[in-house]
Amino acid sequence: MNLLPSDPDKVEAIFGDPWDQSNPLGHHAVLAADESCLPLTEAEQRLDEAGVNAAIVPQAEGGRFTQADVLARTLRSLWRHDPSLGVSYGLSPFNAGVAVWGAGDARQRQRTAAFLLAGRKIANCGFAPAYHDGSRAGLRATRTADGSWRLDGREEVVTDWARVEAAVVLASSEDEHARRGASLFLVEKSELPEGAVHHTPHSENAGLRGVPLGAGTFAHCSVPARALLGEPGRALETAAASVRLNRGLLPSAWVGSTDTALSAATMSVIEHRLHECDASEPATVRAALTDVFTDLLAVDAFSTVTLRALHLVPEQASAYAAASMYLSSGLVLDAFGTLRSVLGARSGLREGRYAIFQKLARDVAATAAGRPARTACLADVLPRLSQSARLFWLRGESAAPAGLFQLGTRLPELDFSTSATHPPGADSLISVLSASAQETVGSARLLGRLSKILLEQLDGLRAACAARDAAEDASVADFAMAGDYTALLAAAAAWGVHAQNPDLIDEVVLVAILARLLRRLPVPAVLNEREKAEVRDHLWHALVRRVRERRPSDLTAGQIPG
Amino acid sequence: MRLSASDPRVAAAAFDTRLTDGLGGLPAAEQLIAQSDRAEQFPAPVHDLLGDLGLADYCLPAQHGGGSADHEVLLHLWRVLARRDLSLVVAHGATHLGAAAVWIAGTERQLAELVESVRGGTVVGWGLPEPYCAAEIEHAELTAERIGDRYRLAGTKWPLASARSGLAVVLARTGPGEDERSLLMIRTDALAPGTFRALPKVLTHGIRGAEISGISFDGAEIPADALVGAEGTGTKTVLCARQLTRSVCAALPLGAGEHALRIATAWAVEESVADGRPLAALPTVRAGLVRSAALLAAMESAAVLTARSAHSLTDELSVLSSIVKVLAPALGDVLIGELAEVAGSRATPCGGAADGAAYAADAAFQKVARDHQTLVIFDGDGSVVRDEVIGQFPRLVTGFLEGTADRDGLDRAKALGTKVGRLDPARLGSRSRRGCSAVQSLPALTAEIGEFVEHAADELRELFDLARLLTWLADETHARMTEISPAARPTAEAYELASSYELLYAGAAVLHLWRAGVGERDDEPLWQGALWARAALYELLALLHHRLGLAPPLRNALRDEDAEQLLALLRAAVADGAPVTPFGPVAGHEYEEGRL
Repeated sequence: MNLLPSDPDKVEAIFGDPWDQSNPLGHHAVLAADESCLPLTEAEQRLDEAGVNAAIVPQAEGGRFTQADVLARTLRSLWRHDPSLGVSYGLSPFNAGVAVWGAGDARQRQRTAAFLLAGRKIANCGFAPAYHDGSRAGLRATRTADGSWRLDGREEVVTDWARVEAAVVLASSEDEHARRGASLFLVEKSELPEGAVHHTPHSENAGLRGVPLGAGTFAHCSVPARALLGEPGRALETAAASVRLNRGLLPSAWVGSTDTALSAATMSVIEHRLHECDASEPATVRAALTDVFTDLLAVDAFSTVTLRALHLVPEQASAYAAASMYLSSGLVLDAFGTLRSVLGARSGLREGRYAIFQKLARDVAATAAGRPARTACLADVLPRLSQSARLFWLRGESAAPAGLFQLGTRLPELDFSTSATHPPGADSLISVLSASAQETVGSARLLGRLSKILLEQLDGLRAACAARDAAEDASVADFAMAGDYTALLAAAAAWGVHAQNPDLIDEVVLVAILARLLRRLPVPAVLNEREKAEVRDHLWHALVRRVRERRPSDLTAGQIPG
Repeated sequence: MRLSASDPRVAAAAFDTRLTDGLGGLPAAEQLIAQSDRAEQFPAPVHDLLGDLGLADYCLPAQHGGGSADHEVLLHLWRVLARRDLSLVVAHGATHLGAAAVWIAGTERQLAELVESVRGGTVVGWGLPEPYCAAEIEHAELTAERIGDRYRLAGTKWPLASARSGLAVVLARTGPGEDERSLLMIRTDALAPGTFRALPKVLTHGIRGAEISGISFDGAEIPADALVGAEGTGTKTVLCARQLTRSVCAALPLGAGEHALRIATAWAVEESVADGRPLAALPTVRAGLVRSAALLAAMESAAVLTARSAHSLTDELSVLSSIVKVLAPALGDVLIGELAEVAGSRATPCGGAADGAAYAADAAFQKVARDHQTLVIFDGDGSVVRDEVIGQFPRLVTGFLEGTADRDGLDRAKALGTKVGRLDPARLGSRSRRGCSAVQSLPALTAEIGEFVEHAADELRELFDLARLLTWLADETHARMTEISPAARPTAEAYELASSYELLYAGAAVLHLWRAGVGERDDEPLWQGALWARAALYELLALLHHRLGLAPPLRNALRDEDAEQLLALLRAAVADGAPVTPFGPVAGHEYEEGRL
């Protein structure tokens, strides 16, 4: 690690020990804000004072954003404490900004950077990849005779409207209310006619209650011609970079929340053990906690590698981001379910030591659940999978760029404007998996056995892709195939990280990750009971040590307050 | 099939109608429930109405004028109530437990006192959990020290449903030994001030309307005749009483699951995706709805068979009730997770309408999801419940290998629509001597189905194939269970096998109930070509394969045309209020018996 980001450390220092009852930004403060459906303004102020707001503005625009995996760690720290803040302070304004950096003119970029660097946020109106699952635009934009635009209609999801000076607004600019044919606008509130926008705050969101959400009704709201962001009717293309980055960043952010939930559950077990003077806990409890630990490392490896791929192999990375979002959302939602069974009664309490659990579970579910969104991810994965499986897999000629797995090293600049479509290309991750597995398949180690199955799965997937008629609508089986592919990509990412950083993922942990990922594929369990128990013990000791030493259970394993 | 007017399914529908009408119609009822949830209060008008409808009577023994003569009826009544709001049922669960314990071990006087209180509207508090041990009764540390003709209490019971109701049945230590726990029926309204403290209502994520709190005793004294049964018999009484309640507790996930399925199906039809087509046009959404309906049918089969078995296979209840206690909410979790995905952002309406009817539906779905999650609050991790099955593995393996079964008891449990007979609590035991008849007779049942479908249509032969696969998996599960050596601390594998056994039981329940109903119910669309049974078995088999670490079978779902048919039935049922499952409440029949 030669590139230590300072922002995550700042965030951790500002929040301090979350379990400390006297800490004004501890879990109980986060919970109190959540109960009253308010943002944690005190934390926002402290973050602004420390200049964390500059983390979402590119260096070229005067901020500190250089690479996506570094921003992800800052977001992760926010999400470790309060996902609502992670969205309203980090992800949501960043997403809005990406549209401007990618498609905006010099003036729009400068205005946006100035707002963000001054500690103001940019609202998303109908343009919030964190919420939207690709459904319709609620607003309609009509161009008037003088070249300006008129916005009408009602948009159900508007973030932070009351507190911002500007918003990125999505509106359909054709007759039908479909996404295609929509345009984006950078709207400054000071330029809007009085009373043209009516904002109704949402009253009762299940998750992310600290994000000031509302619905916006626009009536004859005229905006100047220069508000148009990018080309008219091309919102889908303009938004592609935001969607891609959002899909890449969210899983990495979830790692923070899941880590807190995992620590809470592990602490409850340790505490329970002390109370009962009992030497051990039920075997199911250990299995549950180590399963979550394993999955958390897999999500971290996959999302971090995906974010690095956005810089290094952008033509491949859209599909990786969609795959990471799909698989990680499944893993993370399952992790919360598993932890719920460990915490038992405590998992449902909004008071007491573990109350933060139910809040994190709600917040994460608000961004991770939803078949339309997850199906949309798979739909974006399928065409690339078909192409590269047929054309490039197992040929071994496309090695991955060296930096992909060298976590913490510097990356080339991110291109915000890259369009969503790419010519068929190599599949770096799969080629890494295939090469590593072929090298190991003869080994008597557990990894040898896992390699054999991974290679069989790759073969099977390639055959299935070859047999598939790409012109037909995707069937449930096609989606299942794409789902299997996402698990193989995650396996590749973990293996790549292991090869370059064996201190972050050692061989036992890699075995655990691969075995868990293979459980999502239609194959028999690979490890027998004795092997499972050995792997589990190794992970269990590592987990307890990390929780006791207040180090997160992710690949950073750095020190956090508490 | 012609339903008898006394059929529990008709009774439940009638109860539902009276409940809804009593609250001023469905929209008003839904609004009241949503408001109470928001205010975190039990809806008082519902409490009174349920009293008028005599629901609590069903928690009381028949010889005292109660309706507890029929667990199947109770299952269906709780289920329709759970379909409206899980918070409403939780209190009745506690009353049922308290009443069951006093029925099993209490004196006539205690029982009469309890019956009178419950009739008068008292909800009985049930005191098992303590702050650190959830359902682990071996850790109950509340002490009751005998001083002359009184007991002095010290310790805390929490979380506890209806702690402030005036009457509570709690487990306490009456001596230092392992077998010195006793059950006490406490009039909390008669305790001396300053000797106890009612703890504040617990803030929960779900079931917010339920009265969940606790009670802390600090020297409170109660008369010695509060003792239920002899000193030291408390644990045994709790184990038996719990079997009775657990045998109907599947009503909660069943009601919640059905509610969620109805909301999500309606959405899938009305909500449109990017290109203007309905959500239900997405193949993954269609598959999710079909899967959920199948899981619900599987859960229902296990629930109905177990509720009836409480009467006719009472001595097996230590196994059956533990199975269904874990199985039903576990299937509910899968189902609601599946539906939350179908529903997309509406399940956590950040993308939903901010007001109006659509918003109410969004909020209702979220409420079901979090209420269902919070069901674990009284039982903690399922491992405590599974321990009770794991401890009986040797008996279950022997029973399966020998094919032993109480044919008569099982036949009576299967014969839906007939009276199943009186429940005799004296037959409850902490161990099942015969094991589990439903699973142990699975090979014989499969062979019999084989003969039955020999000249039948393809669909029924497909069902036979599924039954054979289930039997093969039963062989595999039992072979692995043989390897488990009895231990104080079961291994992770033992828990996995217990979970596999639960799925086997559900599969067996599907086949038993299908076999018992086929012929009589062929005119119902769900029964044609054994549609519901095949759908349910596909889901259970997929879960079983995964649980056992086996590669899934090549065919692992209904054929497209069958799935479409099931989806069409589901949509129609949601539109007109008909049952979505084979044994759901059936409205439109006159219910003749007096009370409900």
